[in-house]
Amino acid sequence: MSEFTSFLFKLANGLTFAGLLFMIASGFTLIFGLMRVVNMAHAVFYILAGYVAWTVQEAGSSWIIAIAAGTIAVAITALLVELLVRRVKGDLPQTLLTLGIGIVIADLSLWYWGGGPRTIDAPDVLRQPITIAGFTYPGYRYFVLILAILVGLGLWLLLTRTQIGRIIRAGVDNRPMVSALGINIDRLFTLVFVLGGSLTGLAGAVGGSYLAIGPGKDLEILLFALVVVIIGGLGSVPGSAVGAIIVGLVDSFGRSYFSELAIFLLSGTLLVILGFRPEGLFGKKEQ
Amino acid sequence: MKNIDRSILILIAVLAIISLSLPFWTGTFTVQLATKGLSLGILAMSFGLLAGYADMVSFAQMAFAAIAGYVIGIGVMHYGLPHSVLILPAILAAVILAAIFGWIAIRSTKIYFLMMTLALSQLFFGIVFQWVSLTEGYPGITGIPRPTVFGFSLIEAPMLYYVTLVVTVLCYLVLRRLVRSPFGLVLQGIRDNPKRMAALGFNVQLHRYLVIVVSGTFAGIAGVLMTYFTGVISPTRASLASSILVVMAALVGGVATLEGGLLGGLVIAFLMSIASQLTTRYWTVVGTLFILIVLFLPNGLLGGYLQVGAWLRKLRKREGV
Repeated sequence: MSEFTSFLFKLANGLTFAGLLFMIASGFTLIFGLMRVVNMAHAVFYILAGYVAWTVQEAGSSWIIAIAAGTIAVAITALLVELLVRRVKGDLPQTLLTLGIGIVIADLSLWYWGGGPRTIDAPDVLRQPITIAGFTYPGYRYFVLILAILVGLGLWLLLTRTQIGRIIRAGVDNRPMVSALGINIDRLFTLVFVLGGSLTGLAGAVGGSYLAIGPGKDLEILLFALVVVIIGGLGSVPGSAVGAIIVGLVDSFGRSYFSELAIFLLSGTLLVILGFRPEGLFGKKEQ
Repeated sequence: MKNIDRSILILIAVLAIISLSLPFWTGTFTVQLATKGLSLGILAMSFGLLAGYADMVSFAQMAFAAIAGYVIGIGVMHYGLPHSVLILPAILAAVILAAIFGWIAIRSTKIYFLMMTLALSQLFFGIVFQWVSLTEGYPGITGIPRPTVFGFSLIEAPMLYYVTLVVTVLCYLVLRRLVRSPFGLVLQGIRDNPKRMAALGFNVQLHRYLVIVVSGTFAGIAGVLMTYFTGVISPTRASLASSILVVMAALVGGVATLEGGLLGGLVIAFLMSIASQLTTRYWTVVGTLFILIVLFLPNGLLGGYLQVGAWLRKLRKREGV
């Protein structure tokens, strides 16, 4: 492999990982922006979707059904979690509650699915390597990247072109005001929580085909999601897209050039960005 | 109010008698649990100092404890250094890490602060996990021997227990002194109304920064004790799952008091031991308990006790009328 091809390969790896990270982080950042809750169960949603998709596929269903099942299972879980979280008042107790729920779901998953890594088999059509201008790369990763771009477009359309999107954006900026205008903010919270959870679920079910799902994976995903949204600015979806690209590329190149110290590079990136912009690239100053 | 103070004092006196005589009337197992509970108590106090007195909920306390443990583990096992020269560097490492984390996290407050400390501690977790040549990765450094203090080997469970007890009581007294000092009062002022304190001429950010470093120091001390106790230092020490125990201990005891942290540490150590004997789904029990505490006991056991007391007095008063 020539120097240039290997560079392209790392670049493509970074970008596809960024796609996955964006699907996870966009929901995370929206939930935080609107509800001021750090959803600590978010990364657990990711592995749960992967596990459910794996089980459904093992039972003989097609890949697309498995992906849908994983996503829907997480959407329902997110709904239940939100109904519980709603019972307590204040962002701190709510955050702690999601932490407890996350730990319980992660442990029950370990019990049910065991400690081994699980991989969801992608359909043959998507598994073909694709060659573009002499550069051959796994087709499935192109698929993940395209899916992430579609999710991003969908979110952008939802947030800018629909009434509900305008309300969500207004809620991120000024929650009491939206509430005072007579909008049922609780229902909005539920909607955003389930939407954000489903996106992570989709990422987990789809990502489970190239990053194996297993115990401990949730912590890794949580770390990346946190760094992405902090770099991008809390509450900002475009920010999480840019943050995901930065983190994806830093991780991909870091791993190949620094191996076991790659995470120092990630930490360094976070420090440098926060040094210049404490509120993140697209973030607004805290009120 | 006087009533409550006295009953707390009695509680502490009873605890003191029990704790001093513990190794004489219980087995090694209970003594070990108490040792574990005390070091968890120090961590819960260091968490409570930040959360209760300065309104900063930190998820980084276990990272400070872990780095102290790694200095001991690497020093003893990789370089063959004696324990005596490693204690100070271990605590110093925790101080330095707290100084770094604090410098970044200080720019944010409240839930943002929580998120920032969580991200930093997860990065630390990632570093010790990945840096295999230094930290031995996932299994960590095992078989770290316990030190000998004044000719007494701490291999004996009661010896380590007494050392831990003395350190814990010293930590408690220093922290108690600290929160009642002018520095501590300024902190509480900042917690209640940062803008007013700034207007009064206090350097709000400096105070918040210093208290992070101080709390990191105590977390480091707890980290040294924990490493003596377990003989192991691995990334698990710095994981989110370990942090939840600290938060839980602080919440159970009541986050606004140092005594609550100590009580919570012991309660959690014993509860978790019972849980792990009953079921292999240890973390499910921990998580469920944590959820129940957040839902039903937001002021902790001590807070709940005070609440019941106030409720009883009200009832008595009504009967009197």
